[in-house]
Amino acid sequence: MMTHIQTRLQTHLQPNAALRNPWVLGWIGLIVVVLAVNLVMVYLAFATNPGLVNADYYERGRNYERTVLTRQARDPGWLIRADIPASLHAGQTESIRVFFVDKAGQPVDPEVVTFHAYRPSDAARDFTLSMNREDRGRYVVETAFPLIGVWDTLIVARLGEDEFSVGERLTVGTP
Amino acid sequence: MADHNPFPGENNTGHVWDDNIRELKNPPPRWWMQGFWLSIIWVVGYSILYPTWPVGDDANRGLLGWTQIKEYEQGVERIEAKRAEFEDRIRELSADQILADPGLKQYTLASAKVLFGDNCAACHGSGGQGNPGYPVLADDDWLYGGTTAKLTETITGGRQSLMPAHKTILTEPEVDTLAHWVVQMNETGGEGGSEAGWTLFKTKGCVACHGQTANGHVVDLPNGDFIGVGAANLRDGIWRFEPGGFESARHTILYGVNQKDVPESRNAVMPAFAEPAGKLSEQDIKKLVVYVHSLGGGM
Ligand code: HEC
Ligand code: HEC
Repeated sequence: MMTHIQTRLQTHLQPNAALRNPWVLGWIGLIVVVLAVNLVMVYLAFATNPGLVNADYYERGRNYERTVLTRQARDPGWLIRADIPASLHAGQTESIRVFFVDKAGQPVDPEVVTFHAYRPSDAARDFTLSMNREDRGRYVVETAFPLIGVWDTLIVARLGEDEFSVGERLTVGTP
Repeated sequence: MADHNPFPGENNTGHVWDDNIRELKNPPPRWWMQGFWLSIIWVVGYSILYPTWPVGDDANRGLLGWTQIKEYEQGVERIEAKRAEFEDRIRELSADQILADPGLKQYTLASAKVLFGDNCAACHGSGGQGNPGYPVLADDDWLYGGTTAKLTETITGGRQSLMPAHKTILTEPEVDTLAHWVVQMNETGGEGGSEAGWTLFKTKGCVACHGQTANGHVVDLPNGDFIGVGAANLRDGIWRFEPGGFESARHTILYGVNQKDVPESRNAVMPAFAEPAGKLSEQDIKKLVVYVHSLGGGM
């Protein structure tokens, strides 16, 4: 009975027989899947661009040498150390601290200290918090990372015109 | 499909394909039927014993009176009972005895981790790794000592070491020589200190606190413990006041540690944690002693 139908169909569709070949169909399917994945990737690349690129990267590059020299000349030689707990879990509040000491090891206070968290895969989830002074040279912020996976953190301290920063890439685990 | 049955008397359904493929009316196997009836009996029995059928916003009660919340509460009770048992044993035993009992030690560490995070991590770091200005607890370089007795003393009563400011006692070149000597000592594990530095160290009173070999021990005891005043080891390459190096050493020598009337003096105060001045019970402190001891440097 089945063979009967197949034979009838084959005779009927003779000119397009190749399109009934499972191998040909398989290959076409594969190409369609690859193209679709590419399109999704292109879309995601545009839609979730983290925008971490400096707008004036060209000028910054040209001025690099000068910036480095003025920076070196003004560099107060502070030691800045962040303390971010080793095991982080999504949604769990933790204290993130940063310590500032001068060249002689005495604690120092910048004017403003900010904590930035960048989500490399989705700029919409980035957040920024200001850090509070807990003691001389010691600043803290309580926060929870909302999503598991990779986060780039940057702690930025501002003193007058100068800016100092420490960065760290973190992996946040399941809750 | 054939219209007339070519296989009469065979107990088939009358469905025949490709001339000879038939659907028969054989009963299901006996084991299958037994399973079928058993499952129905099971459902009936289960729904009499346990809540099964929706009744308004609720469900039928079930003869056994089981509820999910009751089971949860019993679970919590069991854990509480287990905890109370552990807590009682911690109360009865010394920190050393707890350290020797793997099961109890594991419970104590888990419980102390939270205490450490709430009370100690702000200064000593989230993992006891130390921070600029605050000593490392996860190594065996101790200012006061890493025995359970010394740790208990430190956490209970706090510590506040003293080193005099030498700004008015020593000349500038003497201070520089000593600061260079401290760097040499730290960089060479105590072998490379200059003669001039050693002479000043021994004649200007440093030796009284930092010890004969500058390792911070005033008297070494046979059991590996030591007597000291909290003075830093100057020869092990670990800087108490980071970033370390010449500037740091010079600053400490010039302005001392915890000198009330010297504004530039180092501030190094470990608060007292015992009640009523502090906020930790004896039990909490015992747990923290076990925790700090296990961070890596316990003696
Ligand atoms: C306000 C900051 C601060 C807090 C909070 C703090 N400590 Fe300390 N701790 C210090 C300082 C500073 C020292 C060094 C004291 C000195 O130099 O005399 C110290 C010293 C110690 C020592 C002695 C280390 C050694 O080498 O002998 C131990 C042990 C210790 N702390 C444990 C703890 C524990 C446990 C807690 C939590 C209950 C804690 N500390 C909380 C600042 C702190
Ligand atoms: C009264 C005791 C005392 C005397 C005397 C003393 N010190 Fe100290 N010194 C200390 C203590 C205590 C510390 C550690 C303070 C702390 O950890 O909070 C220290 C710390 C230091 C440090 C810092 C080490 C580091 O790793 O950052 C240096 C350097 C130092 N002393 C050098 C000297 C020199 C040189 C002299 C002699 C001129 C001297 N000290 C005399 C008690 C003393």
